[in-house]
Amino acid sequence: MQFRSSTQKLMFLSLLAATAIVLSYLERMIPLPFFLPGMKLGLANIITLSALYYYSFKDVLIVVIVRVFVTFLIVGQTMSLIYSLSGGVLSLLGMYLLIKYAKKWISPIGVSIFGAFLHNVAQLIVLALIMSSVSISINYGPYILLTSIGTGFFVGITSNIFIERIFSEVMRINHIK
Amino acid sequence: MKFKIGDFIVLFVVLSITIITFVINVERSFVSKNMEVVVSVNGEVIDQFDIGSDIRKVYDTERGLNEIVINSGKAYISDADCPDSICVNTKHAEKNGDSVVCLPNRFSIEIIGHSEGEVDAISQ
Repeated sequence: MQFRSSTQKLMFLSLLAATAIVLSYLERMIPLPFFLPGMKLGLANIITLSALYYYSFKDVLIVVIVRVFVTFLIVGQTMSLIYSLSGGVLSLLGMYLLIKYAKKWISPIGVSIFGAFLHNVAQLIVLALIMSSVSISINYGPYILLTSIGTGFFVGITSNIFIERIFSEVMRINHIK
Repeated sequence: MKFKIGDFIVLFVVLSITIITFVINVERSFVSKNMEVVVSVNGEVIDQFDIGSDIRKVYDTERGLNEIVINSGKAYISDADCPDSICVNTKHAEKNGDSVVCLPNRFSIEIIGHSEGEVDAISQ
């Protein structure tokens, strides 16, 4: 994407990070009807996914890392930092590769489901490492992985609307090609 | 908005991996002999009980308090001082492979069954 200045680029990336932080804070207030450790909607993924369609990998990585660290400062749980960081970076990497090599054949919904899936896979790996037990991860596996289809679908639809109605419009108004 | 072929491939891959983990769970739940409740902290086993026992015990570790209950073939964490209380609300463990985890306290109980023919069974 062509920005008119580095300040403009910095401004847009900060705006994205700020939106993602608010979204991750908001989703903590939404109670989910399941008692699963680490189960979240992944609303911040809307920002990561939409940004991947417009920004370079490095830029989105910065947005993800800033989001994770600031959310950690607000929430203050070391565990959630490890989880969010591993999940966020792994799902970002997977979604980036999908968009880069298979953009023609896949819609944001598919990318989002894949991202949510990788996010949960990363969490299961971290869980296995912390508890030194693969068996525990496999026990939670089916439930957590199945939820990634649901949450990924929801986030994908929202990202699609976000890209079409807001993102492209903001770009047009600000004359960014 | 329309779906593309890649969406279905992703859905298929995610569903298959989910089903594989589910099948592993179901398969190991068939083992129902010599089941033991294994209590671990930080990945280290600190206690073992038979699933048939009737126990209520409090563990005071450096990370926090957890009270476990084993009763009528089920094991669960009945009380904990962790901030999220997820462990207290988790489904009770009763089959081989089931586990209840308290992540903030790094505390877990897990049911491990031994199939017949192991050295332990013979030496008994």
